Amino acid sequence: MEIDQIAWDYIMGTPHNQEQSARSLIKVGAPAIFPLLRAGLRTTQEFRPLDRSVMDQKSTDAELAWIYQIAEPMLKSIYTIVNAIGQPAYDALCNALWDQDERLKVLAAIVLLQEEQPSPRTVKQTKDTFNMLWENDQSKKYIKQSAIIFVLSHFLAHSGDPAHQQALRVGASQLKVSEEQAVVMSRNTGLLYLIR
Amino acid sequence: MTVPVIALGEPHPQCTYQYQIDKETTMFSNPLKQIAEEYLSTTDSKVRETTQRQLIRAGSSAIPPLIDALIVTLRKFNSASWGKKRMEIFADVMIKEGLLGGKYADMMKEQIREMPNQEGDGISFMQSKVSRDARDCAWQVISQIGESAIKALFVIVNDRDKLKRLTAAFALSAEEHPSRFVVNSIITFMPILQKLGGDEMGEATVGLLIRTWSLYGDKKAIELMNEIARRGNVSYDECNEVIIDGAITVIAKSR
Repeated sequence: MEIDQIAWDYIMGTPHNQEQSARSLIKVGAPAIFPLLRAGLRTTQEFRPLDRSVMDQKSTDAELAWIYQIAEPMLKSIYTIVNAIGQPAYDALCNALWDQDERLKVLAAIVLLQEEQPSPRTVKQTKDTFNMLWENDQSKKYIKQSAIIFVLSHFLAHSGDPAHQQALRVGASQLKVSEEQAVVMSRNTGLLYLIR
Repeated sequence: MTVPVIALGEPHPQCTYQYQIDKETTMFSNPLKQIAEEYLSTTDSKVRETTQRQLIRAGSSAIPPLIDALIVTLRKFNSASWGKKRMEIFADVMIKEGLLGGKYADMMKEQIREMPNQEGDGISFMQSKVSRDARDCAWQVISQIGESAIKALFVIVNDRDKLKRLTAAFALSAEEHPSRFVVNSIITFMPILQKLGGDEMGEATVGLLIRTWSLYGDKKAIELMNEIARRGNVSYDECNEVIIDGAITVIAKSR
């Protein structure tokens, strides 16, 4: 079976099937990461929040249900494999940050954000990407709309970078939310970018 | 589905839903619907196999007729159509012929005693069983077609017709081990469906979907199930059964 199909079956299966597919993907190693990200993007497209004009449905209700009940489990599933594979998977995620598909970049950044104890190698690669995006892509729409720059900055703050920690503190106080909430807000903005 | 229509004979002449008329009218309707009705009501395993193959071959286009056929089938199984008296006669014959004895005879008598005297009184054990069997047959076709059939089923969950919505959710309740695909489909529709609650069909539909979702093990769904159980003053396990029997009752008595 193609890795793309295994990745889709993994994200979409029953808990039992997911266990089996997870084992296959972990065995595949780093080459499983791009198929997993593609399956994640397919999930965001297949299960978009429904048309908001129905029954006075507020768009935020549908979007919140989508973020917490559909996107979060999908992110968790991808992260489980990344974490099990280890450094080669983090390298693949960092490579995905350079992909031409902007949605893939954003999803890779959001998956990375789940890592609470990144290795120095992953931090270094992410920092390089952040700096490059900041220099080259700053004028591009997706950088603002997708909040990728914030997502990567929060990741670097979590890894202990003082400048990014300060940026997170300032951002959170401007928004009048906790730092934790600010991180969630950036992540959610990124997720919603994937369905728009 | 081995016992019902054949074993119990034709429905009572006073029953409100006329099975015979329904059967005749379907002669001229959508051929896939005819196949689906035959599939759900036959007692002949060869016919079931053939009709199942035909439905699976039709792919996701078989889903709307299958749901229509499930509505017809559940209406046929309405307890009042069989009548408590007929069940008593049937049980007596079984016991006299020695086909049923000991504790099983006592169990059956007990179940018949609990049967509703008239339509709307509740649901009999037999009605619950054969309706669930019909549902399981429908689900076999849906699950064998795969993701495209599940998508088609959720188009019906989003239909304007509340009865169809409910029956589609009922068909889905046959899945005891839902996949993430099924769960995500439920979640996508849930915010809208919750707005549709407030009447019997809407509540029954939402209950069924939450129940299926909870079987995946998502915390949110389990919380919602607990809330339903608390409101209904039943245990969590009982709630699972009450939701299904409630849906059967609502579909069977629908006009």
